[in-house]
Amino acid sequence: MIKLIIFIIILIFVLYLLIKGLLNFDLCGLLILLATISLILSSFDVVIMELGSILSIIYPPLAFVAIFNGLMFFTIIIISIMITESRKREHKLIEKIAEIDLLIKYPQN
Amino acid sequence: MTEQYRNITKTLVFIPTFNDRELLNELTNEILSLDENYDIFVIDDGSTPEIKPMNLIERYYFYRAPFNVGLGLITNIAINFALFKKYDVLIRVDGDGQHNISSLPLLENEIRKNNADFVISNRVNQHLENSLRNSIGNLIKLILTRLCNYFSNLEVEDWHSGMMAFSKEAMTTIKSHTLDKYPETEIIFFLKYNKLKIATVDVTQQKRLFSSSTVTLFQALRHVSKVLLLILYYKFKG
Repeated sequence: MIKLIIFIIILIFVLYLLIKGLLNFDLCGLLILLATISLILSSFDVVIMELGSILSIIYPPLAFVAIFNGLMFFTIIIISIMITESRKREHKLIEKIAEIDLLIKYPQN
Repeated sequence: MTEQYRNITKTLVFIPTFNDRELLNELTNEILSLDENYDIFVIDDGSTPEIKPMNLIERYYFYRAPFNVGLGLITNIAINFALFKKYDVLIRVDGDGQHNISSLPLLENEIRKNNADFVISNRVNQHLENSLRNSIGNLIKLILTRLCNYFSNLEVEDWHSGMMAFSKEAMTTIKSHTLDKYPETEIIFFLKYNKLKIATVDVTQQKRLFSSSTVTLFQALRHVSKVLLLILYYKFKG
């Protein structure tokens, strides 16, 4: 149940960022996909045990894991927002360059 | 009662192309001979090797993007240019020769006579090709079309058609909006959200003679997720 609540919170947060224009559709889709995969995988105890043994976690204190995961998610979101912003700027710059190029090549009669 | 038709004196037909070069000159000549009010704007989206512009001076414009920037940005560039040159209508035709050039006046007429702001073509024969790739693609498109129509209250049969026409109002509205790759669905949702009149026109699609579709499986999945997010986005935005 708690996993589902966390998933819904992530979903709402990501959609909020999309609507506010801070995330683009591509990265938003990717984040939702990652959250969905995490939700599905965390439903299987075998996967959790296997992951625990790979990461050498015998008894992960809940608070530590939650903070670590939260920080990871926060970092990914921040990077995604930065990528979105730089893509927007690149788009606007190319648009402006094209406008100037065409203005020089085909001036208004 | 006299009918009020929208005054259209100048139309710009823009052809975005990425490595589709075989039919480009033929398409240009066909469009120029169709109507003397039609001008052409070819945008090479970073093809390799680069496409050489035709040696035409009148009614022909050419621009080459510095690299492959995607159809969304190319559409933004074409809209800016059409507004700068004071065109009344902007029509998009793909450079692969699949679009029937004789259908262009049909799209323009929807804007002129029926006062539509944006016209999207409906490819009536697009489901006829029998291949596994096409069948799966058509099934996904059908599901997406139903979803898009349900949530937008529109009755558009083909949300992914590349042949479309913008009125001056549509161009002005979309000018400040940054379009993404494969922008067809996004354009319809955006214009509907801005309460512009959207119309459809039935057209026939011709067989692709050269090159193949640039859409890979990954891009198709990306597109599906984008359409689903667009639905959510505009649902939340109201």
